Amino acid sequence: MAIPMKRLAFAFAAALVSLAAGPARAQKFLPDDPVLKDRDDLPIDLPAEIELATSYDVLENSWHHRPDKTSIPAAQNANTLGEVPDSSWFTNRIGVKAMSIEELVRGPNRRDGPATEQAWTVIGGKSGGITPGFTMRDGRGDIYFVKFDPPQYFGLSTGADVIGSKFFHSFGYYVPENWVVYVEQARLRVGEGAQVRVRSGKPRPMTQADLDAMMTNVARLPDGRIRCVASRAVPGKVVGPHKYYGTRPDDPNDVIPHEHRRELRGYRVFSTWLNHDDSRSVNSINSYVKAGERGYLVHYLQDFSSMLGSGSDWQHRIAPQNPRAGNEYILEVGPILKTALSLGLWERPWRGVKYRVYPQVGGIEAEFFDPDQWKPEYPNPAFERMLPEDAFWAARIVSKFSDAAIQAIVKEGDFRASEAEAHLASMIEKRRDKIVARYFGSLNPLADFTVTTDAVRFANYGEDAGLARVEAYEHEWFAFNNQTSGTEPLGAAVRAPGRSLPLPAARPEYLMLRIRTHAPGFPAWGKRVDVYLRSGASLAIVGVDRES
Amino acid sequence: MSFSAAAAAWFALAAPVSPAGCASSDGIEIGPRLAQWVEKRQAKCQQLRPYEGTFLEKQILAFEKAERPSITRLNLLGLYPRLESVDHRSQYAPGLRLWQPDLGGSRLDLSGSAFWSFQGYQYYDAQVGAVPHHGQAFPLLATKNDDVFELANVRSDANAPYMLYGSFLYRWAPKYDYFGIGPDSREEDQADFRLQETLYEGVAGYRVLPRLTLSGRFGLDSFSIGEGTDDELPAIDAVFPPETVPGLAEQPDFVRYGAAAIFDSRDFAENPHRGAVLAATWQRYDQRGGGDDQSFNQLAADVRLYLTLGSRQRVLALRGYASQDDPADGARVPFYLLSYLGSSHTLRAFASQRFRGERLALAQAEYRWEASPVIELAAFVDSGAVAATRDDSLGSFRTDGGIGLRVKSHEATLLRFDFAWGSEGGSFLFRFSPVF
Repeated sequence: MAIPMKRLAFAFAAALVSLAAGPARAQKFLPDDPVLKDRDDLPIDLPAEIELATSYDVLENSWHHRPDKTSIPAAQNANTLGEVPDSSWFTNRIGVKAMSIEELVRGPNRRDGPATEQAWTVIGGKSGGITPGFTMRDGRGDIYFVKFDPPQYFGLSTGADVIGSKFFHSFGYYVPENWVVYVEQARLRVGEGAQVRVRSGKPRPMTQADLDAMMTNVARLPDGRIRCVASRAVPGKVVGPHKYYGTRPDDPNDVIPHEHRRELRGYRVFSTWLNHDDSRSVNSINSYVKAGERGYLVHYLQDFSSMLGSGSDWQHRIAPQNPRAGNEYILEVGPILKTALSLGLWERPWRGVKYRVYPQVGGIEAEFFDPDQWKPEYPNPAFERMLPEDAFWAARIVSKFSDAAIQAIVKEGDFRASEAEAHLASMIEKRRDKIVARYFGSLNPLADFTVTTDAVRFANYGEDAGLARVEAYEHEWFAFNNQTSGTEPLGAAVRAPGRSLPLPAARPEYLMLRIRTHAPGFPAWGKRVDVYLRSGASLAIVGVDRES
Repeated sequence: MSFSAAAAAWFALAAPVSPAGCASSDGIEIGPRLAQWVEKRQAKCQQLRPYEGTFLEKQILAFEKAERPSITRLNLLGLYPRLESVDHRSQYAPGLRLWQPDLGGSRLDLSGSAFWSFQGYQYYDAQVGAVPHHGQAFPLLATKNDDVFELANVRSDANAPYMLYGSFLYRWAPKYDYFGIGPDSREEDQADFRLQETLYEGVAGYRVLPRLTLSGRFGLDSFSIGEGTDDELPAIDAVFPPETVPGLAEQPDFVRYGAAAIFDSRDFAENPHRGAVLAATWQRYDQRGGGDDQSFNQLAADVRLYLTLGSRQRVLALRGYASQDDPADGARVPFYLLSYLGSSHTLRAFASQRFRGERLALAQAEYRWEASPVIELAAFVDSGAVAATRDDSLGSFRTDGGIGLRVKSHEATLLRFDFAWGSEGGSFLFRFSPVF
């Protein structure tokens, strides 16, 4: 059998790099640590389009891919600082740099939204999801997906969709540009070739009657204009959603199992905060973005219409969130057995929760809410593998949102109901506080380490969140051997009251600073945080390890 | 050689040999840490394959995309395949239901059924007119006579407040049971017979109040009795003197007419959690072709109450049913038209049509608890008694009890598994409808 020369060359190259890399692999830190950007945007050919079955996704994730909770490995794409490098999945935003309220409310939007002064040409009826809608091309030629609220729930799902896109964009995810838009029905016309698929039917040409029928049951302003959310088509060629387990087999850039990506594990914290129980595969899209002749896949989250207080009723119509949402999976054996065996006397605790429900913002609460107990519609393999370090990473991002920022983003929902809007913002604020308390309370919440000429400085997210007052930071310096990971003390452990710990006189190639935080009522803050510094032209922070 | 230099050398070699579709790191500066990830990407290049869903995933996806309609929507020219238990001892009968609501945008509906059971039963019906239905959903279907008949098709949430339709029904039931008449009938006297019925009638009704419907019907009902086809059971006249079995010798046609009043406040007729049904009917069977020895009136009342016990998850369902047949002096109600107890809807542990009589009383209680919105469990008690004639007292009450498991949608009971015990043994029931 002839072996192609290309293969031989590749094998030789691989062997060469293996030899070269062998000894270096033992090193804890490599010269390019910490990696701040993952080059998973290497050019590839266009992958085939994937379609996932919603019901199968429920079954698959309810019964398969459930982890052994005792042996979950650390996230594989976190850098040595424990941060998530920028990639085709995530771009660090508010987590690493303060964002102004103006930036937050603008979110992913880079233009003004669809032109409402010209006709919208409908080019297809929407067939998936719980909301009526269509795809249209505006007067500028841009394509948007348009969805509506029912008349009795003005703003419920469209507001959630817009708010969600702004939050998730600021977290760092790729999301579509969304706008709340008011349009006159007279501007809507069916384009040639538009098709619609009614439930359980095959696609057929869409008629003006179909469009008119759709518009009979949507929320409007008193002046008759229709309220909708317009979601601009993402750039590139959409090739289907991503799963939260494994990798896409036809994408060479996709080598880190999705359940081991920190940003997808941490997505649980964000979803918990915002009650995004619809955080599942079918609400993601991968788009092939060209970079020259070839391109790469960018991974988007989309459709935030069923989050916060917005959900659907038993007939899959837009309605305030079902109390089960966030509290129990669609299929969950434990509660079923408990209720069955107790002759129905045992009741799910969430059944007793009283929600203040507003037509505009639905039902969301913060008293019964427990971040540990929150659940999406069905198990998400990445969520289920979230470790304390993953949660801490995400919670730090959550903590960056001030009350004013939350209120400003909620205002973008344009609910035109001040009491409902204030209630929603208040619930988000209270849920943020619970998230922060939960995930800053289970480990030593120090982060954002910097080094100056004479000291290492850091932030204490737990103290900054008002959880406790720190008595002292017990710290100890070590010389660190990067080859063996061995350590040698450079002095005794000492206590300092502030967040600036002086550097030792010694300058080995690597230094390690071990810090334990002493604060009354928070024994978990006494867990160690090891901070690694590399000597060189100047000292640099290269790694952070946490005891969890 | 430093690691970064090795990596750079490697990429210089590797990049040109990247097969089509693979990531290439041309022109990108990559350090050794990142090189580990890029190395994995290069390795994956050798193993690229398209995403391939499992067989099950593909089938589910096809349904979701409506390339194949859902099982319940499968139909040919409006004929929907179904599996039902259409009659006593019919077991499961495959068949077709026809449903064409609001023909041509009018208020005219066309409905029908045709079932053939593996036990030799046949059942056909058809309704044309304004048939009570909600939305596009099928109208209710009840093929047996152990309900107040109007409960089979009146629903308080129907699209229109009125109903007006013509109806046809034909049944061929070759294995009906007969144990004698009255409370003292014996299990060991079980015999069987064949019943053929043809019914033509017109039905009119109006929802006079949001929950109250009044209706009337008028029709022609014909019967024919013959030997049953169960080889294990004797014919009726081999066990009972024919003169003790009214209607066995001849079966006249009847003009049948009646009226009913139904108050229905259930939240969902086929999965009630709260509300009540109060139904009262009067029917007249007028013998045709001379003679009046088999004509009779029939009065019946059916009361159903559904109480949520502190939570929608717990429901106490109660039912009381009573009927009395009132033949003219000297006349007898044909045995095959007598009210009866013993079926999947009445005394569940007893044989089908186990007790027949001119008077009947039945009480049922179920405690139902939902383990989830789609799974319900139940513990139940049924108790009933009959009297042979209207002048007799009700005999001793027969009681059974049991447990059940039901699979439901939000608005309907889809599957019902009941296991019942009584003085004559136990029975396991699998049905596609609620008990009451």
